[in-house]
Amino acid sequence: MAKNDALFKAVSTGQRKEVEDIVQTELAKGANPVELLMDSMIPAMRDLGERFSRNEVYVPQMLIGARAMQAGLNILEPLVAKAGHKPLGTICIGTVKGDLHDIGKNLVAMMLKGAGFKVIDLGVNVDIAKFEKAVNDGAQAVLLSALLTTTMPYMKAVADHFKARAGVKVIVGGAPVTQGYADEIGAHGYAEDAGASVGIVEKCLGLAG
Amino acid sequence: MSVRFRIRGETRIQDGPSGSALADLAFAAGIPLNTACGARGACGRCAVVLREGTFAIRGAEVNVTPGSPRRALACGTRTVSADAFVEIPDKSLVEQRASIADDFAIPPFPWTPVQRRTTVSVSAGDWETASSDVERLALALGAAGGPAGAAPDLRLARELPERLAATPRLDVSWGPFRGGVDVTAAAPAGTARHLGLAVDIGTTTVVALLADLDTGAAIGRASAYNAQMRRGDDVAARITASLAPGGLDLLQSLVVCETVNRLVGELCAKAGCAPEAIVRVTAAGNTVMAHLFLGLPPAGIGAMPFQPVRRRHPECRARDLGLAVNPNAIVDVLPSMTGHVGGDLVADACAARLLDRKGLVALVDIGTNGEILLCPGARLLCAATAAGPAFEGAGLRHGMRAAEGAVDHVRWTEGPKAEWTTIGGAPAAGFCGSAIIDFVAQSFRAGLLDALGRFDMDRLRAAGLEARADHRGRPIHACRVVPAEATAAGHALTVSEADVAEILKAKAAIHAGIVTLLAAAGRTLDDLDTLILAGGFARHIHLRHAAWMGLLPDLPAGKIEVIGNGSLAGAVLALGGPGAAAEFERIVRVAEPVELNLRPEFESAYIDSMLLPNADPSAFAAATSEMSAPTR
Repeated sequence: MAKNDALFKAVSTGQRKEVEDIVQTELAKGANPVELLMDSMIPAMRDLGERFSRNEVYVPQMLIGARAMQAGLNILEPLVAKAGHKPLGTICIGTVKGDLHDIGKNLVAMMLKGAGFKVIDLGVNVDIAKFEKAVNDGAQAVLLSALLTTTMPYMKAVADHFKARAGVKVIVGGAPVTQGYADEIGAHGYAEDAGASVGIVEKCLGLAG
Repeated sequence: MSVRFRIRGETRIQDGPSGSALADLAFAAGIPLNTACGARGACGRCAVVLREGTFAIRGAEVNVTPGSPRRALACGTRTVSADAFVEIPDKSLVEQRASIADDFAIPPFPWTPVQRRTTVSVSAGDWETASSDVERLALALGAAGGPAGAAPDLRLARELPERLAATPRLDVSWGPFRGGVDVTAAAPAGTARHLGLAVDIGTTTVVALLADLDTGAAIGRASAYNAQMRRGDDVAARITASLAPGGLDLLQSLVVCETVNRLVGELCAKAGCAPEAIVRVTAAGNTVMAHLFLGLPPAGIGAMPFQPVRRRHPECRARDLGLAVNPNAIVDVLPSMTGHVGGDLVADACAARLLDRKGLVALVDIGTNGEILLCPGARLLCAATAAGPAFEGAGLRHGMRAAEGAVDHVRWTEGPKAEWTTIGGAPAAGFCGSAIIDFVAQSFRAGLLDALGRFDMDRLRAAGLEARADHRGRPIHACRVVPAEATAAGHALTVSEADVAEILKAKAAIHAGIVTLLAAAGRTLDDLDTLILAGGFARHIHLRHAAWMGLLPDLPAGKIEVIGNGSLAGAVLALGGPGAAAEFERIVRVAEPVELNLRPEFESAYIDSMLLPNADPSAFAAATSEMSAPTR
């Protein structure tokens, strides 16, 4: 199945209801859920992320796009899982202990889902034990978010925890976080914004190129 | 070793040990360098031009000769050995001469001073009656209609014999102190004024009002930037700064000595009175500001579970804090509701008589942190929402605080062509928050901006308003509002799509906060009877424009009240409002924190509120119809 232009456009422009309607209609017509996801929705989200990185779209459009994507995924995910579709990789993501801000983190999670990753979303106020469990459950990268300079230091604690674990990549982001801070705490990657996150994860997991 | 700083055409020389950060030397020289991120090297706003000398830029030694100047961040650059020459561009300074809202509108109230003064005649005493100076003073105070059993503290007791030796007739100032009555000052009758100081300790600005305690007359008002600004421009940055060695002491000294004491000096000089005449000080600020003013570590507020050291602050003495007023003056800091909703909001709620209102009332204080109170019946829900500093002009390409030269209002006329006004009528230097609200609302109305905050570049081009702005090294769409010839710096003032996105994030945080708090109470925007706007910012914005862009709920004018600086009003009430202390306690007791980020409605409301005016425009019917009406 080729790209469904209407679905692609509905995700890009954040038409949540439209996305749900098209997905339902297409499924009723017998469309393959994996194809709907892989050929239309994921390319739409990827396109949005790339345009975001080029400063052609901004956070408002990203957020409504991500929300529309989520609406479609809610329908498709169980069907895709049943079909045995293999994700690009598995990552876990969480807002670090002490911090409750999750809108930025949720956007990054959606970008990664939209890029074809399996995302274990640990929510907010996440401590090392929860990240550890997610890694034991198969996460290859640990993505840390913080919105406060006061909670940012916990990123170092997590980075230190995973330092000796070959194969576990720690990637940080959030408004007060800088590349300099990421380097300082020995993180493997730093995502300046949600648009950059997909590329960084792919690079850290050796999927780039 | 010394550094020559060139700033605004003058030269200042500052000595300091080798290895000093240029930012610290600049502060020592009294230069108001903008270190918004707390000199962490994150914000890039303290950029200076190294003209001559040897420097260590982020640890790497660099030799700069006059022919090849070099830009660097003052916070990340240290002196090495020899003398140096550094130029500080205007745009790396915190704007001076702020236009700070020190006015407030509260209903008139009978002045009921918490600190009173009574003229007494203290008897000489006789050997047959076992007594003392302090006891005879207390007796005289009771006999003159004052309280019974009031006592001075040790410090005043030490001075009492000298006072009594001069004259038995004393003006005695007394007031509540930690559950008892304190004799705070005693001066020869008719010689001293009896003054109180009310202070609004803002994260950004501090306002002080000097009042005659006996009459309630306001003698003067003065305001200044909080000198803590150099350690970061939001409360999280201040908390981080407090964790550094000596950081807490430094922050306390910056707000007390370098900010409030200077205001006291200014007010007293203007009023021709002695600082010793100030015998009571009341202060309202957010929880972090109250902690730093008192020297309490605020670290617990910075992360879950957001616990302050104290919510209620028993009175202390001016000398305990280093305040340059009467050393015995009683300092009363307003209590906080939570770590995130502080005494400034308690003050707002008291000034607005929030708990005694009829109907469903919300109070919003728009600042870097938007705080929202909602009063459904006997409850008081409180929440803080991270709006960010965009409405204070920060983070916008040509944004600035509401200081002289700031464009404060913008209007589109035929063309479209922009008309604007500036604070003080000075050449335009940048946009402050009120102008940004005008711009976004009217550009959306005129179709120059779409609901997602994107410009119609064809129309901008046709009107000659098309501009490009650099955003992280890439050119992005922008709209030229003020042409170069009308500006202070000689370059056009533009608003870019990235700026609009920042504004949309800020307005979404406020609006979604209101919607979510309503949802937490099981109510919706339709149920809202009254919206009270507190804080200086709301006093200067066009309220309909705020509704058009979806920042504030779309309520008819009669349902919105603007009270101005409620924080200062509350501090004034603490000096002379009847029953103010009991009212503060009542507010603190009923306050229920709502953590917006943990409410399931918040994210969706935030995303809806990102659009102009909202992804769910049903709540903006009046605004939508106004916007579709023909422009006058």
